[in-house]
Amino acid sequence: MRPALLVIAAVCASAQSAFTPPRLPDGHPDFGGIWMAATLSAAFNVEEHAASYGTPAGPSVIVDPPGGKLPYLPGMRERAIDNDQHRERDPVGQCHMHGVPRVMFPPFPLEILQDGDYVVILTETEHGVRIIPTDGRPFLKEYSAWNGDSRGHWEGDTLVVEVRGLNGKGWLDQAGNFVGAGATVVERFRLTAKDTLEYEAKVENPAVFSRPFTVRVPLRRRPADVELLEYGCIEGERDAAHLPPVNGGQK
Amino acid sequence: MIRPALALLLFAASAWAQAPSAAKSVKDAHDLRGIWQAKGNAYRNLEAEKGVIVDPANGKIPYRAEARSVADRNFQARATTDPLLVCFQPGVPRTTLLPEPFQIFQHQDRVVIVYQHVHAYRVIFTDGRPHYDDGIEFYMGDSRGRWEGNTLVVDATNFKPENWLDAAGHFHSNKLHVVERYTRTSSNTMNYEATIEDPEVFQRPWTIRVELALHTEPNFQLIEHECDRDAQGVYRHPPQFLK
Amino acid sequence: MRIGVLFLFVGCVLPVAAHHSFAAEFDDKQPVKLDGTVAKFDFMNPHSWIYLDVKNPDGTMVRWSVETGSTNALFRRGWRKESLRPGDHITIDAFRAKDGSNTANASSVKLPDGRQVSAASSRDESK
Repeated sequence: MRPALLVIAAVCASAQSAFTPPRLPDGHPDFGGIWMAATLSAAFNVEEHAASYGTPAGPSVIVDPPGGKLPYLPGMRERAIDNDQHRERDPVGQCHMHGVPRVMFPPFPLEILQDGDYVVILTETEHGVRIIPTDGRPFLKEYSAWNGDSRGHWEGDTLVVEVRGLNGKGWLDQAGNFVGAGATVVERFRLTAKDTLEYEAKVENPAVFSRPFTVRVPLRRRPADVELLEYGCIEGERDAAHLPPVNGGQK
Repeated sequence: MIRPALALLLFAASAWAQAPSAAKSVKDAHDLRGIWQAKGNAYRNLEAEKGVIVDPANGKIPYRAEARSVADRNFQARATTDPLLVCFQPGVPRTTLLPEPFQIFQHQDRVVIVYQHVHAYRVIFTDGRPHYDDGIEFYMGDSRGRWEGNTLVVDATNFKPENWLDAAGHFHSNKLHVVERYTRTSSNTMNYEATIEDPEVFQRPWTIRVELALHTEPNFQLIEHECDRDAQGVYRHPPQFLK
Repeated sequence: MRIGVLFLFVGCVLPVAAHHSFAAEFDDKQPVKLDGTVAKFDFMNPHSWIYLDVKNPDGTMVRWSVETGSTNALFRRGWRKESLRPGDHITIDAFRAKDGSNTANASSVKLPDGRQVSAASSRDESK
């Protein structure tokens, strides 16, 4: 058994390191282009779920802990279930930006652009933006924002981004899962093939979860003729009038 | 919320606007990158603010007769009907003129401008690809750019009609066509011109000019400006635009 | 004469999702078939809206507001802002709003020329 395992391990290891990414003049891998989540069902529920009206079936995108379930503290899953039963409260339904990591896997394209000391992520949804400096500057103090405040650095060919200052009002998916105020996220971006950008986000919030958890959603490059289209949301929002009143918790 | 950071940045911005800066020569005239912000108050009223309209020479917007009365009505009702009050992306050129910074990024085939105001952004393709057909309209328009010497010339079309050009109610239709010219005049200044054309609203094209200044404060960055609720915490929902 | 309007009926490969949950607003147990005349078509985000005048059996007219997908999803399926014009006679298969108003979420639209096209609605993701 053991020699076979060693062979398999060797083959897997070599396959992992076989891909050499295209590089920008500064030597870093070129992540530029239009991308979209390969697992579109994650936007609806990051845990494994069956299909229901308006929601496609999908596997769990939680790779840690094993078992693929969010490690909620006692009482927290009940809050997520309550959200699920009141989807009119979803902040995205009110045209808010998605927050991190939800913003990285909606069923709409996003664009990554690298320019000197910045990695810029433009999302079609909510014409959202993440500007990620990689020049080592400190985080903003006392900052609270839907998409938080991001700082990136390179570890070899992996872009590592730390996110702080998330306002905790965003949901994690359309099913009402959430990360809560005070959450911090560490993301890892790595090209594993010409058209595959592996995206991982490790989320930590001791007020909501018993331990950190990690989601992984590969992003696939969109065909060359795809461009981001403007997505004004609040300008044309007409559904709120037909939704049950949103509770005061959204403030 | 984000008030402490916002207050700090607005204070820094006002200090920056007043401090004289040593203008250095431009190393690469085709490099427009950085965080910029318009000087002056053109955003309030393109016509009333002196020196903003450079053509026609009399500084008056050449409205068609019936359009001038629409602008006057907008002005009277501006406290409640300005699209900015209900979180519309402010369009072109209004978003450039606002007293909020924007950041220019450049790539080989596109220039990307990210505006702090409601995190609007524009992707300006510079590889010669054509505009979209007229079957789709955008609040921020559809932009294509090219270099003419040291000036980035941006052609913007496909606008939605509901926006204003400033806070005074000067407006346009979906036939709006804007040609912008960005010319870096020193390491921390840029000349911005926009020629505005709209045969349904104006008798002829007219041009505004504003100077942009680079933000040089250490670690300056755009902060998130999410527009969703008014000061009373009421969810913004633009019923007056639903006909 | 409409030039260059091309509708593509495609399956679940392209992104379609709503900016909010379909289930929060619409009831998949209340399908409606709306046969009427387009009063207005607003091609916009986050959803486009078809305002349809439908004649009741008793002869009275009622205005329905029917939501479709985003312009992004529709545009990539070939829709344009002039794809539906006032006066067009169309049939929409939709699901009624839970609040009982004359509001619905479209799943497909039958055009004046008889073609059946996807409305890129939020419900499509369940397929």
